[in-house]
Amino acid sequence: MSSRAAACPSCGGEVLFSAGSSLVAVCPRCRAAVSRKGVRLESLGKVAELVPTSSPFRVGMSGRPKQGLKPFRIVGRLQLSTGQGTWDEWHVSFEDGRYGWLAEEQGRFWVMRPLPVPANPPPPEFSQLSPSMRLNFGSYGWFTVVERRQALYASAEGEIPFVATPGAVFMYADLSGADGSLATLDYGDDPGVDDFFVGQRVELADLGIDDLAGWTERKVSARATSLNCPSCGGGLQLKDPNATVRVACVYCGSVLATPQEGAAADKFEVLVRMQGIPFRPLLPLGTSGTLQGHPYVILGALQKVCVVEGTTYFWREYLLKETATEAYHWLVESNGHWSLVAPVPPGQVSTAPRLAVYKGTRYRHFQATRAAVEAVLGEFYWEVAQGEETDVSDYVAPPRILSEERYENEVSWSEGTYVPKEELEAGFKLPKKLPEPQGIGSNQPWPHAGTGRAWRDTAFLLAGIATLLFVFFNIRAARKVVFQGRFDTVPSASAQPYPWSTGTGTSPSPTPAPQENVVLTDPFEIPQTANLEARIDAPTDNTWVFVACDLIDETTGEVRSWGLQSDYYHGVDGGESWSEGTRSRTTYISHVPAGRYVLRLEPETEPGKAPAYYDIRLRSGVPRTSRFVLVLLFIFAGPLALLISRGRFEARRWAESDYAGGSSGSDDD
Amino acid sequence: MRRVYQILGALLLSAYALAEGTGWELPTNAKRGVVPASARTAAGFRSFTLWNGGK
Repeated sequence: MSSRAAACPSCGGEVLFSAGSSLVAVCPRCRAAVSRKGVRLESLGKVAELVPTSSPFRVGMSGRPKQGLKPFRIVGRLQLSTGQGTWDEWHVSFEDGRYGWLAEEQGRFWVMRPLPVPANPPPPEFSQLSPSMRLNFGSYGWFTVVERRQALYASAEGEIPFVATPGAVFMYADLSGADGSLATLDYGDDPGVDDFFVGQRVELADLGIDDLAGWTERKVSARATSLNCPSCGGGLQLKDPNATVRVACVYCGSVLATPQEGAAADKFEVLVRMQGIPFRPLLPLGTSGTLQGHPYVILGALQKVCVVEGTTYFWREYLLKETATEAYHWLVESNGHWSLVAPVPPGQVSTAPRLAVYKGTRYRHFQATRAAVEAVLGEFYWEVAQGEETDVSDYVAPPRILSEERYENEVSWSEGTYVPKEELEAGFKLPKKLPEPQGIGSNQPWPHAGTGRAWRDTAFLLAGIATLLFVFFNIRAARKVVFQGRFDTVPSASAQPYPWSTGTGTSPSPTPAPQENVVLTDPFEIPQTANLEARIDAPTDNTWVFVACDLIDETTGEVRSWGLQSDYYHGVDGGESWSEGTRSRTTYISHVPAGRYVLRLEPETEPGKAPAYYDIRLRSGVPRTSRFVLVLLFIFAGPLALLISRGRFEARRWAESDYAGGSSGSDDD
Repeated sequence: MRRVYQILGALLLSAYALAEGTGWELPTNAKRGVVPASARTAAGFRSFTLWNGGK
């Protein structure tokens, strides 16, 4: 349809339909909603006065977006209400004749475009929807139901692209896309879908609306920034007057509601009268500070409670407003552990049993409980009430935590990051130190995470070098047999002393009575300085032989002495055979220099049961696997100690979860 | 702490390479001594009174 001016059928005033998509226009003089069908105009009834909101937009503003959107003009405003809150949606007409909606929520902005209702498969009926339900809309992608509600058309101004009867109730469902998009299923007043909108989030600055220059200093004339508590008279300074709908007096604890339409701006209604504050917040409300590079003001505090197996647990949630973007975040404190929490699009969270995944990070289910608001203090942008209950599920991937909160018709997800209390003390310049953390927080990072990773990486590097050295020395090892021989354990009758030639020029001394079984070998060469492996083998059978060995360096006279024993026992006892001992044993002698040596052997054995003989073998330059293993043990001792420490830390963490006594994990990076 | 661990690790590997290269072994029951020059004969080496043996 083309644009045209027409006379209001109620008062005769001029009603302008400037956008071709406009079907209804609100008469600026009498506020009648005028619909057009072709050339025919019809009054749909009077539209209620608009409720002042903190929206930066006004009908008539124009925008020239930097990219992705055509230039547009704001031609209308629809004010919607669920009975618990009111919000604006702005009808925009694009330069190419198409239309869309500009929506806002807690400082975030969306441009919604109408698309054909999904047909393959079609969306479920309204009554079949439930929060967290995942819907496949074919080429549009997957969406998660975030909210399903009924609302009414509370008020309007300018032009609207559909026939919206003032005060009419309609059903809708908001969905969150896997790519962070937002979608709305508009059911109107019947179970089937009437319209489907999909939108992307935009930054206010990217909309290119020139008239927003004064937005940061805007004042909504109907709201006051300071008031006296109607219950105790205490002076209250509101830090977020444009969005606050509930105030809990920081002096008496009374819960106040913002003025109703028509009431004076500072006349807050007392909803709950209290005689004293229900708890003392650790962070002073109204304080401004900086956290992780972002400026915040602390607006309010909630004390929440849950009961698990008969035990009551408390924690506090502090509402923050990021002053640069006007986004709302939370600081959650439990037993002295703090986390900075921000909402995330539910469509980007996927879940499986005991698992949630967000942006590629896997979070393990920690606990699920029913939480209730026990007490409130400060300012809130929604109609918070004591006793308000939600079902909460926490998933952890320390230092992060992912939380799902389910209300009756709504689900929300938020992600938190552990914040050391020192960071809060510094960021908000707190006059007093915060209490020390007690126990292990659900998403508290293991304090040695950085050290653990560094040691692990170093350990693997050292082990790799040790392995290379082991391989090198194994390849290089001589393993040379420098001596081997077989000797009688009991000497024969004709045994003679071994001949001896010293080669040193010394005269032989007189020979004393020879020991019968002592052996003196011929000299032999050890070609290199290395260790020496000495081995004995003997056919011992329920007996033993011990050989005292002395390795004598011919040149220096240096002696190295050791013993080798072969013993083996076996039998049958009660029908079962047994054995013990070993016929072969090996020992290693350290650092034997190259040279010429003689080996002296003196056996001892059990009289009458001696084995017939024993074999002795000497090898030089034998690599030792045990040394390599010992080196690896030392290398990994440090990381192993840290691993044990981490295991104990995680066990303490999970002892507080729904899986106490069962699960412990490696959640830290 | 990482630097300390790296230094200790480097020292450990150096000791390992030295031990492998020189044939050093952990201390055992092996005893060491020196045979006097006057006893460096076959009879001296064989004599029971000279030796306690490897026991």
